[in-house]
Amino acid sequence: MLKDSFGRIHDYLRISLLDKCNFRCLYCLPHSPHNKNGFQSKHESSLMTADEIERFADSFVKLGVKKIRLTGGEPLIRKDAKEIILRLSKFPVELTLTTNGSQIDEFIDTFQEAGIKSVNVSLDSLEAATFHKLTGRNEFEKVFGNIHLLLDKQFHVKVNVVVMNGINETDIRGFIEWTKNAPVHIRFIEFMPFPGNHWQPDKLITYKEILESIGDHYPEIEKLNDGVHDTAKKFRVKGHAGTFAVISTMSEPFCGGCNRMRLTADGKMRNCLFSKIETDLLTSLRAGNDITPLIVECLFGKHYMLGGHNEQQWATSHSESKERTMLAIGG
Amino acid sequence: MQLLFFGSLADIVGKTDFDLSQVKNTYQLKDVLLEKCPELIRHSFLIAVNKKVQTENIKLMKDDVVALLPPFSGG
Repeated sequence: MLKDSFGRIHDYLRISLLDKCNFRCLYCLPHSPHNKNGFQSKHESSLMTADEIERFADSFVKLGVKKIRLTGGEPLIRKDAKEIILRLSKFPVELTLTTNGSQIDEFIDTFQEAGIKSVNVSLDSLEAATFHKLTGRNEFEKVFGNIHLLLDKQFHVKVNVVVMNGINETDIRGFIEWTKNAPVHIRFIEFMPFPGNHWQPDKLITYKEILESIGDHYPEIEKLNDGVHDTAKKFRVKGHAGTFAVISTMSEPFCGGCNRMRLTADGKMRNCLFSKIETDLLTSLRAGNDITPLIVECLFGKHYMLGGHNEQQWATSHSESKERTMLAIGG
Repeated sequence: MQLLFFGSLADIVGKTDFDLSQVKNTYQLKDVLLEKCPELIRHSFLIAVNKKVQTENIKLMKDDVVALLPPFSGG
């Protein structure tokens, strides 16, 4: 069983299949005058092959991983995505993925064959024009249609909505209205802007503000139960088929219950989104070395939260309990 | 007042000493931080006071625990 130095069991692995995407979301991979892709994509030879992904999965599963999520870039545009999905489906794990939804129609059969039960689709607006502005692509109808295709085929669908002040906060109501008849599970994600993603709004819209704006139109909201490893706080408008949740990444970081590890497309392990260092597993794998000790060591170096801190004392007296209070954030 | 720098911010700030004696609110804190460590502006950060992110200017008290949270990209 994989544990970090704080005793947290890590049984959830997220694997990025590639760092390319067919969308150009403003906050992720916008157009750049210098590079058509907006950034320097990794050369194919440095990416994990399907074989290598399977071998990594094998190592992680032997160490106790029970859930694998495929991410990217856009995982489904990887040419051998179907093969990878089917290979990973042979492991005794819950297999799932996060996608922009544009390719789903070509993968439904594969998903069913692989026994995938739940899919996360990123969708930041229900207005085609806003969608186009945000993603750089005119594919709203396709994505929306694909989500309904998934619902028709009885998949559990979670929709990830990044809420951005001045851009799509007015869409919140439309998403909630959608849950009335559609069993979709909307997750509103707090977004923090920062230099480099070409967009600087005035401020973050917090979890509380999102809830307040929903409460204005839908007064009867039920709180649902959250799992100990959940990052989302879940709710349902009374009588609605679907649910909504808020992932308060910024206003209330939830590091305490973390059980996640990440593998980048070029085979590097990250023990935290905020981690400054990555452990190169792929080079060792290719050299024929046992990667298990590297995995264990990487995880053991995981900080309690947000990639670790450097404490600057100002007060002349410093109490242990204050530090622990800070470290108890999240849960 | 306790100041915590998370993730990549810890490297940027290193062992820099910040004189917080005149700091009465979060805007003043930002000024002090950026003046002593101008590189912080390129990395951006959120300020959390006693576990709550504060985007507006709020008063800071002697016993407050202030954390600077770095940006990140998900996946």
